[in-house]
Amino acid sequence: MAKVIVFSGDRLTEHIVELDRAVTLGYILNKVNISREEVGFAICRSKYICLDDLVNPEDEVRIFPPLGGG
Amino acid sequence: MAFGYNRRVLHVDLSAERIEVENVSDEFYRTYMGGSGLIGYYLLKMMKPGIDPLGPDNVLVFAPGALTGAPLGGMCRFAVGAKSPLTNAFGQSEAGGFWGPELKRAGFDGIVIRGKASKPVYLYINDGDVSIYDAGDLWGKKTGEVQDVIRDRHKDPAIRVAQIGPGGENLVRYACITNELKHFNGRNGLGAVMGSKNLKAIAVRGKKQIPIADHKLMSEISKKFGSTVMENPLTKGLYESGTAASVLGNNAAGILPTKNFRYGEFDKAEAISAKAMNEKILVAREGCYACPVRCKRAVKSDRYGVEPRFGGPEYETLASFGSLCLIDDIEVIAKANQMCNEYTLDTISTGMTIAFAMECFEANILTEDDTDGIELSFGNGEALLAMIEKIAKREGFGDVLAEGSKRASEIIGKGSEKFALTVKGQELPMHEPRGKYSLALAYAASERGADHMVAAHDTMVASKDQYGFREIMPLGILEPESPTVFSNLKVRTFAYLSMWWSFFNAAGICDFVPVPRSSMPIKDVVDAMCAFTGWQTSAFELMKVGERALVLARMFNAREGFDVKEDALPERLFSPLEKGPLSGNSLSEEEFKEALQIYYAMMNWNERGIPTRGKLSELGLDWIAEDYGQSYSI
Repeated sequence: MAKVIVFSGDRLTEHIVELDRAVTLGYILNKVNISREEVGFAICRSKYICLDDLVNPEDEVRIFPPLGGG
Repeated sequence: MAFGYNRRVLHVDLSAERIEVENVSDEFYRTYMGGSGLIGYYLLKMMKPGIDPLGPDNVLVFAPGALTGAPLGGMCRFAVGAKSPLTNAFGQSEAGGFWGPELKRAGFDGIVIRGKASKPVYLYINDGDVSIYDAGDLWGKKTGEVQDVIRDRHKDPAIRVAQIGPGGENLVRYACITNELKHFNGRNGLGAVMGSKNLKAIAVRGKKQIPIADHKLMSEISKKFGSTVMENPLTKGLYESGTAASVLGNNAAGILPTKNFRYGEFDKAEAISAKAMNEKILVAREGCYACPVRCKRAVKSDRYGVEPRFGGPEYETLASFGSLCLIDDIEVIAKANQMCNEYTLDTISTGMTIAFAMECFEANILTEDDTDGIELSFGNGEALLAMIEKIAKREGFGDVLAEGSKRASEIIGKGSEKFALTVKGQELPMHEPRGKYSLALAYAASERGADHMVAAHDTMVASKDQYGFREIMPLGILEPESPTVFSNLKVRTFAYLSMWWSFFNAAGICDFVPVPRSSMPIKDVVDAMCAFTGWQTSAFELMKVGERALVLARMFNAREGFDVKEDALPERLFSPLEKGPLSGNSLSEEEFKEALQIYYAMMNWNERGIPTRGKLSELGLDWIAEDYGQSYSI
């Protein structure tokens, strides 16, 4: 299973997505009901990943809205 | 008749006690506009290279922008500039609030100040009338009392006061300037320049309406932006959580500067988050002139006597006094913030300089014998507060830290230099270049030292599906790049965005209103300029205004002897991040240097980072080009 941590509205929400094979980040977003427009960036295996990059069943993915400075 | 601006720049010679008004042409104003553009022009024209930034020959410029004062969200900013006493380079810092629009309503597009008053004074500008007043009874007082006295003295509670506190009077090298007690021209030590001139405050009252060329179009743009604030997640987030939302977000991404940039993750981040602020100390959400976003906070703490009138800590302050120093008490941070507001110290440089000292203390380079008996260890909130007071008053060890971390490390020696994280002498802001590579270019190449407000950050434009990315495509950026890749695409994206953001500075536009950081489209920004000024302009022309302002600053620095060797980063940023989801990520020094050279080439600057004669002429800066190779040792 993949652990998906979503940051939104100053909160972190954890989801577990059951996987039996590697899937794309886009697939993960559908599973946790997040639209592509809401995503600023995602981190997996200590690096940024794109929508077409693969997520393995044992991975942790962190998904963020656009974050800026100030 | 001019729409949107006055064609008038105020000149004040404090030594001679002389006040003059320069009438400028439409072409001049359209070329240099305001902000950094106007500042760069006057600093190059009126100042010789090599002068002492804290001496009377420094020139201090207050410059709103072309759109400052427009009845539209975000059109409130003004910049202050001079030779910086922290970096010895081009110094410039923006603020929001209400002072900038008030100056334009009072009849001026800028103020140029030179010389030094023989005793403390303040200026009062009242609808075009300008007077110099004695400030002997105000000198030494903190900002709240000074604002009250000035408003009471002139019997007008609506006077807007830009001022310095004791930190500026005592020439702390990173002293800032405040207006309305809660908006700051924070960086580069411009408050110390003001203090060096014995100038305590500039009070402004402007009751005139700024003429608008196209009221109908302006009103349409304003209504449209107002309707998006609660619908667009970017602006709604700023309203609900302010900039404090970035604490938990950056922490979860592993890019929250922690323990003097040793780590990217703070295990107590929740204690200093927007949620903690909302639950424990928040009393109001506030905003700037005409802005519906209302991203500012006002906080209260009875434990530490924190009053709402001094606003509340922004993300930079929550991080610089929180995670950076391993302090997890939000009320301590709120108190530290208020102290800096009252004394007028830049919270970023103050936090970074104290974190530098904390790391020295941990490494036994400093002991309590050096720090006046204060246990200056990471996590010690009372030590933080005590040291802020000493810095502002230049007392004891505070006198060393008041010089900034770079100079302090040169005084302390013993290998402390590696803990001072600066570029051109200015301390790093609270954003991690090891997680956002364009910041490496921004920090290194910025003419004013390490600065996070040079361009939109990588994470704002990282995905093709992102609203912010789609909205900047009209600038010609058609593909996104990953935040941790140096590529020609990354450099080009940074170059274009830095010129566009430089235009925001010249126009007086808050970065929290237009795309990609927020929701006002590029077309509406251009239309707002047309509606306010009556100019038939375009994004191309406005981009060139931004580029021109960057080049003016770079030529100022070239004249002072700065080149590629100063566009460098501290060693720590080439070591891997030690904690968090991005642990192991580091910058490659070789890739960074190559990216810097690509940036220079794209901007048509030579390999030393100095604009070519052709670039100067292309921007209409022939008056500088004529001196090329003569005054600038190129």
